[in-house]
Amino acid sequence: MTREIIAVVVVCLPLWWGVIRIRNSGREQLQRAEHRQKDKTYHHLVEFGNLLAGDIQAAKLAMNGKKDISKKRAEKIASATPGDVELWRSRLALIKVIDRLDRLGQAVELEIFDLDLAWQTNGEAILAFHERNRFVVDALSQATAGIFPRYLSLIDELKEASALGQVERSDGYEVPAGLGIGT
Amino acid sequence: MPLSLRQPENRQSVDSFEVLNPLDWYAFVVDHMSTLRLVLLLLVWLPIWLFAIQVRKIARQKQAFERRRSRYETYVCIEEAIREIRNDLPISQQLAMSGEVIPRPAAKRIYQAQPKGGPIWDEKVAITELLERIDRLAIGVQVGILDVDVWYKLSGHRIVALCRILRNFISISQDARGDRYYAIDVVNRTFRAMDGAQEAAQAGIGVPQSSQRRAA
Repeated sequence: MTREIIAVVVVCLPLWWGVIRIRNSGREQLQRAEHRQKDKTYHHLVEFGNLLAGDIQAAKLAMNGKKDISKKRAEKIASATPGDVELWRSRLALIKVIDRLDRLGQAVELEIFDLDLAWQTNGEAILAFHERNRFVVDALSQATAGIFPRYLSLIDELKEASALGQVERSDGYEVPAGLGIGT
Repeated sequence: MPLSLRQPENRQSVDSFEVLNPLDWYAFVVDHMSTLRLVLLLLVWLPIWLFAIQVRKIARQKQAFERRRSRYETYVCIEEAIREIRNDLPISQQLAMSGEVIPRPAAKRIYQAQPKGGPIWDEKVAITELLERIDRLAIGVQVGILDVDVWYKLSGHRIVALCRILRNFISISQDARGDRYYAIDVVNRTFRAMDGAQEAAQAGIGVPQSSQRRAA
């Protein structure tokens, strides 16, 4: 019987060791791949932020640099036609921004982007845009019902993330500091 | 003479075999092997069993990760396509924003424009380029390179709107040259897949009847 026990131990020990090694290397491989993917996603989000900043700047220029838009003017912009050149340009520029944010919202919904990562990279800029243009955005959302389904949900989710403050990441990924866009 | 299952003694043994319950099985195994041997056997099999479970778990995690990565790639590809459509063809924005279907006579005029036709020729070139871009995106969906769900959610409704606005131009082009726009097929397929056939009908999307007849 002693011989049998020794034989089993000799067989079992390498087996156990093998199981643990394979599990650890599999996990490490997966973690490395996820980390690489997060880096890629992060850089994409930074690029997205730069494009968004360009769009926001263009929208500001189209609205003659006006920061606060009154409710009345917002409604005019929302119902503009190609004939009203200035208003139409503002409308197009704003729709460009909303459209981009809507796609970001879709990507978050499809779990392509992590909301937390999106918030840490571009959250403040997006919320600042929404705050500054909330009347126009509301009027446009009503005028284009159904065209930008994810924009408002994204804003709500970002507001929640903002209220929660910086969430401690459980996946060990640290967002590089100082690369997010300005508002 | 060889034994067969039809023989009564053999049938009896088969019946007694079926009657054995798990406890009897356990008793049978214990009778034939000592408990220590069973424990040793378990010690050999346990790592193998755990190994199988771990491999399956990691494989599933990898599969989920690959799926996420593939969706990301699709997203990047679609974003690029949308950027091209948006940057190269400002006309597409105007068309999408105006939301009005180009009337058939106007579409015919645009389609028949010649290189010396001035702005109307430019418009034809712009619309054709736009349709080609949309079509390339649609082919990606058709051949399974791009994820239909991501495609639909990111650009589906915009492309549906553009196709709707350009439907007369598409129909004239299809009738005149037998051109086939995959975008239309993909839009239809996506709608069917999402139980939105009615919505597609409302949006006025569909292969023109003349083309359907030709295909038949």
